[in-house]
Amino acid sequence: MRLDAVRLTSGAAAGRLLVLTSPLSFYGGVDPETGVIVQADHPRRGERITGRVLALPRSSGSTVGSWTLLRMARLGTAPAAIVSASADAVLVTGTLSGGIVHLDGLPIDPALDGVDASIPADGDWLEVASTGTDDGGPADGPLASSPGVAPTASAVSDEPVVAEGPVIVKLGGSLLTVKSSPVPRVDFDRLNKLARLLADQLQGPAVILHGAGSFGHGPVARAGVLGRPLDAEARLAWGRIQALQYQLSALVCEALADAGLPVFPFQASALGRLSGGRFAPDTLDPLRQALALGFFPVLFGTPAFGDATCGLGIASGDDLAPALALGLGFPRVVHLTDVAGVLTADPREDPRATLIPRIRASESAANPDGSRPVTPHDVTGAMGGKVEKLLEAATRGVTSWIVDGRDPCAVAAALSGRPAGTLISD
Amino acid sequence: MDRSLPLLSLPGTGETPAHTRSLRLIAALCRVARTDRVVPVASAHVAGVSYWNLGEAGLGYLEELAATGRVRVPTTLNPCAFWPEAPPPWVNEADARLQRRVLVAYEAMGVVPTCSCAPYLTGPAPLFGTHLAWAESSAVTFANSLLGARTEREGGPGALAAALCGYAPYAGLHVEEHRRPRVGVRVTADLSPPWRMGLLGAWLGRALGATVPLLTLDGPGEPTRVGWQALCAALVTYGGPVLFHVPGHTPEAAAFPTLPHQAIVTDDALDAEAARLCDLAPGDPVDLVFTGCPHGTADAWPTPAEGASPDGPWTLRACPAGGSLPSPDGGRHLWLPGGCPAVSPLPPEVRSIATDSAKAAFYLRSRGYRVGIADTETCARSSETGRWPHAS
Repeated sequence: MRLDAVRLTSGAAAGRLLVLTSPLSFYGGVDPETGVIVQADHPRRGERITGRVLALPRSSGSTVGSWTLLRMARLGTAPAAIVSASADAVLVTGTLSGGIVHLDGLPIDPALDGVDASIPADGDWLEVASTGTDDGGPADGPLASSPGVAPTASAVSDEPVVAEGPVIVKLGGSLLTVKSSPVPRVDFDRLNKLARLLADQLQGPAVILHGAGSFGHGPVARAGVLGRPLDAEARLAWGRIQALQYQLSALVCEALADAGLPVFPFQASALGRLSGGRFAPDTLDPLRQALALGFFPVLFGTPAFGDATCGLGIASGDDLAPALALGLGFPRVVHLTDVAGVLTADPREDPRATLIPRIRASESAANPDGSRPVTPHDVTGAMGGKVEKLLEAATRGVTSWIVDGRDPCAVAAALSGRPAGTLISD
Repeated sequence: MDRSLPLLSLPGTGETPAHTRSLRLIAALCRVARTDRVVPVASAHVAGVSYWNLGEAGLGYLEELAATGRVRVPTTLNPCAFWPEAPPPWVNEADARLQRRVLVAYEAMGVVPTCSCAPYLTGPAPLFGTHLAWAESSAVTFANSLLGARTEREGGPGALAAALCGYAPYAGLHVEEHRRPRVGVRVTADLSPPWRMGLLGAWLGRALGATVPLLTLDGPGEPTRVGWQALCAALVTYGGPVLFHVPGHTPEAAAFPTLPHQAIVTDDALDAEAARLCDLAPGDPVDLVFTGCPHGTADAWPTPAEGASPDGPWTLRACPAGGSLPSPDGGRHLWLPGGCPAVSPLPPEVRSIATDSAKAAFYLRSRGYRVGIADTETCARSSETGRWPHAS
């Protein structure tokens, strides 16, 4: 099998692959005399890299790492070749000055660990002996599989579930923003990648929703506005929270427009109200008109009127997605999140957590309650609430996907109606 | 004006082996940055001067390049561990020889041994809009932000390769569209004491990551030049970008639309930042006092305190190499011309260090020292008493 790459340094090489899934600091992380990994926190500590074809995501740590690689090349303890996912200046300076063969832009696939590999003298590729689990297209696969998640894709057929039709796409707040940040902060790299991906993959009409991430959940929790009387101070806090959400939405719209998507932002609280904790649209005619004119409506989770407790509640992106799908008659909802899908447990607590590939509304009673991952900052109910709302929509003919928005293959599959992540249907 | 040209327009083989090697490194760095264009640079500033960062292999690499390499643009040098002609008393002659070999190799290539992290002070400052290949992160930030020049944060070898062939990869902050601010921040803190600017840099880097900020200064007091240097040095040390914009203070700010403020930095926030960076409690012993990070001009420094005790703390002031320095006053008060204690061996008995620099605090803490951070006057007082003072 041949894996295409970008060639950074010249030469031919062959050896057994050593696949590292986390970055390596060459300075202080490898003993140049012996070629053994000594980095304290590295999962492959104790392995010898000498003579191997070393696959790694990138290097980390001090710039002195270049000189460690050069020293290893002179001592004869260097790897036979380095293949990286995204090289940095430290790494390429070391491989170039040390004359170590170096390819870049290769996905990190732990399944290839220990397999024999070679790089031809003038080829821009890595030749790998077949592992028996070759599924045909690893060269355009994900950069790294989600940690701790066992691959289950092979268990599901690749037939489209819902082939065509307009779609609601929700971009999770934890994808767009740095959710742990003390101040609202956008992850622009991630946002721009997602925007380009949507621009490439969206074929027909779509409504784009986005979560609030660190622009919403932190400020709402800090202000303590939920379930509190609507006094002067609370009103001020509600206003400030929305000002922040408009800022995030402006940045999202800007990124989508830069990627070539004609966006048309809408304010959800002007289109409907909360009823029994669910968003109930009053009128969706403006959305329909925007879609008919070739725009992509953009909405976001926002405070909305009608909640019994204080007259104000939050219509989150998770509420809006199924409500708009039902209201507009869209057959598909795709949730892009920062996990592979719905897992059997919280992967941060249980490393054996596995992906649930399909949840059917008809069988959902069998889904145990403790099987839902929880995000600590999410005041709108995390994965459990999301699944519940989607199951409700599934009984009324809406099929939903929950996929890892960082995995371009999963996003492409979901947007074209094929199984990916967790599929929720009737 | 876009001055970039295709990488393919550069020769594949240079005039000398060193020139060829530098062309190959620039080509590889272009591929890493996923660009096929390069841009001619007006000057280069090379880091990787301390022997204790380079090691034997790094020194060997430099000496090989020096055999045939000559820089093609004006090139300056970052601080070394210490000036080998005037080594501090705790350094032995063998170590001084190793540091000297590094400087000799650079000089052979035509690099001016300014040995300063502030090349915009030791020579003519870069002009607005010119492209540079600079390696020192605080200088990169100063050139990008305060001067409106354009440089990525090059690695030491990358900057040297750019100096030897005259071109840098056309990527990152060389490209117009990557220079616009993406987050608005309002600062109400008093920024006239330089060390508070360092704390602001630490706060921004920690809270905002590498997003380019547009700062609105709404506090009392104007930042000084030394203060801007402290902000530039701290910002990237604590994870920030190498570019910021401040309407009324930086040249490119006026070209960008106003951004709403997503964060406000108050005096209280900077006090909390100082507490976060300070390991010393009032009354704790201080073994070494370090000022001069980043380098200022030599004439800007206060004269050492009179009658310092011979058993008092080491008191070090870093400054650029050369120029007319005040004569050393002997004892434990030392100038470190062309040097930087963050990358140099320190006296073995030192455990705790007082400094006025947020950047120096970061690097000294990562080397295991206990660090106190305060304004320059407080550091000077610690130098006299040998104790970390009580808050005044």
